[in-house]
Amino acid sequence: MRSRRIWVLALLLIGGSQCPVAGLGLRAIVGVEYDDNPFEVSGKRRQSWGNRFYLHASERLVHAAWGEVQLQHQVGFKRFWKGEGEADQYGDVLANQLELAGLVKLHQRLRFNWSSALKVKDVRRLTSEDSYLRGALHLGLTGHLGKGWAGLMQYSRSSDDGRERQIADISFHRLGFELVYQPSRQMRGNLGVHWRFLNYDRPALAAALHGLLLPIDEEQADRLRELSAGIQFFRGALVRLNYAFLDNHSNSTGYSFAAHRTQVLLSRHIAAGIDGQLFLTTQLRRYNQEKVETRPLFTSEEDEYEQQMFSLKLSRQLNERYGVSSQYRHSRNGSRQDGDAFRKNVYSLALEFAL
Amino acid sequence: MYLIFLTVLSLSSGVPVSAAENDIAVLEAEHGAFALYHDSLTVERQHLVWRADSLSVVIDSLKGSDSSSGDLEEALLASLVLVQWLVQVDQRMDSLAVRWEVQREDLRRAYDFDIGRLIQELSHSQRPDRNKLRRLRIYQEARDGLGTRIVPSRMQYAGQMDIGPDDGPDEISQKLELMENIAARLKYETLDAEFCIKQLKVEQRLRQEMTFFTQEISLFDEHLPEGRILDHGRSSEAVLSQEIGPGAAEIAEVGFADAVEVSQESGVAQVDFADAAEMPQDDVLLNREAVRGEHLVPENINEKGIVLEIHKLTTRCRELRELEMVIQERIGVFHVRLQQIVEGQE
Repeated sequence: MRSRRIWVLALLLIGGSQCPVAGLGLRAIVGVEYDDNPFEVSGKRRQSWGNRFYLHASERLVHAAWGEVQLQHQVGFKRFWKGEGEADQYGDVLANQLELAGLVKLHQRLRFNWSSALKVKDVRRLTSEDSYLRGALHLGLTGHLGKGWAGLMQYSRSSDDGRERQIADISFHRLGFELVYQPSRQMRGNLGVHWRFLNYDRPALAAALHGLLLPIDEEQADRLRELSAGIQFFRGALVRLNYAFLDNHSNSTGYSFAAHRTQVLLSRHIAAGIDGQLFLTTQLRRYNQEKVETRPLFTSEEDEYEQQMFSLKLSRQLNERYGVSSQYRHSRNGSRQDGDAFRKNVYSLALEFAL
Repeated sequence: MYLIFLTVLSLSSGVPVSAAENDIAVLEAEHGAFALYHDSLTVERQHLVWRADSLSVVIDSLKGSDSSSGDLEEALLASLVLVQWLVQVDQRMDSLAVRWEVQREDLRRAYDFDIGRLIQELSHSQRPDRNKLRRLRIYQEARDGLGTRIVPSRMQYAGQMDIGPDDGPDEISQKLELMENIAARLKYETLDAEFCIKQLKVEQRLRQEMTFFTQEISLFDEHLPEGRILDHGRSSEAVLSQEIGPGAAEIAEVGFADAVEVSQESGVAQVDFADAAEMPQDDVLLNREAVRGEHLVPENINEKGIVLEIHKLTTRCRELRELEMVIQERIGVFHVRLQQIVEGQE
């Protein structure tokens, strides 16, 4: 029923109906994709075609000298034409996010920004993704120090309520400071330090005799420190590079880790009206505490997790409202142990609408 | 959960909606900034005039009295400085008046455009749209408030672009050459500004595309790395199949287990360390899950600065084109005049 509504909306977009609300920015993507491992398994893969729909709507509610308020809504829907099991039908993912964000100019050099968001992700007949409900609040204070320098103080609070038994609820606090140098609009560098406090709704584990892990009365609480550096510039292409070192300490045995994360984002005009976007992220995560005497099946290799994701999108605007895009995405995600990480390649073709 | 409630509450808190178009909003903001600047200059000027008047009284009294000439010189010097300040403020006010009038004209055009569009939309719609009607009324009031004065400075041209009664063919040719040079320079500047606008529009589009690209990836959680979940060995395949049901056996085979849930259901969370020796000699169970809490959508990709820059350059382009048109028109007049003189001599 829900997917039928989405298709009706998609048909309306294709039909070129006028946006019913003046001043509303709408952008939609409708397409098909071929995924060679939609269920993200490391063993025998099961390929599937699928549909993908994405809608982004935003409207600036207030735009005044003192600041602005913006409302943003995103809806995404994915349907795999095959089920995870031979007898299963379809696997669906529906994600909805509503965000209200604002900016207040407190002083010529001081700005306060905030956002509150509500996200619902509903996954049907797929074990590779999680369903949850998330509420989030973000507060930020930016002080312009002069000559392109600025200091940022941020606080975020969010809460994930897992819709399935497989995942734990998470309560999340994040406090951060950033130093930004922006000599011009086209160049920006930043250094930051953030602390994340994650409380899981599951018992913490403690090492016991005979290589056992036992749950204790406390709930798992992780404290993560993130040191990051980034640079963004525009010179023919918009480039954004980020590196972060993450250091996590947990009261639960086996969860403390250190990780290195690198992200590259690139967007440039190629030729003949074709624009390209590239996203590359890698993360190498090494768990500090080796698990207590594991079965021979599990080796220390499992202490290392690696994520690699490469995505290349080519798009061309056909006219003011319509465009086409093609995307290739490669992912490798999971333990570094041989055969324990899944790999997937996704090829997609889509029509894009801007209203 | 209370955070979710707070979020819903803040989302439904009814923010006043000002549905003005972006162009108008930007221009109105500029207009407001000009007004503020004008007010501050007026206050500054009043203050300077007041100080100059006070000083003038002091100077008059010093001239009348027998006090030392040093005081008088100092007062005169201070008066000169004040006059200089006053001249500078007046210059800034003149410059502001010109820019403000140009900006006001842009605002008039933006309102005219949107009023026309709204009227067209309303005439095509079968049912009257209250929002549009309300906006139309607001726009019309705002437009009326701006008046209909034509910018006098735009169509003015300097004295050297006029043909004097004593100008002969040589003078006219010299002026013609000068104007052709000015026209060429204006054309070059226009092309330069147009090129900059084109570049800025590409940059704006790329920034928008990058934002949408990452937002889509982020919405589906496709950027998240995976981490491990550990649990104790009680949740072995056998326990799972007994406690959760037949469906769980399949999950356990591929390495997915609802370990935490099982541990809670089986009451293992209450087990003391002393009981460890009595526990089955099974091992740690591994699972994996996406690590949430990662933030992908890049901040500060915003294009507000670009929008403003594009707007400024577009206005500049329009001004340059208008100036060029005026000069071209003068060049035409000069050519005709020169032709008449040559024909008269023949």
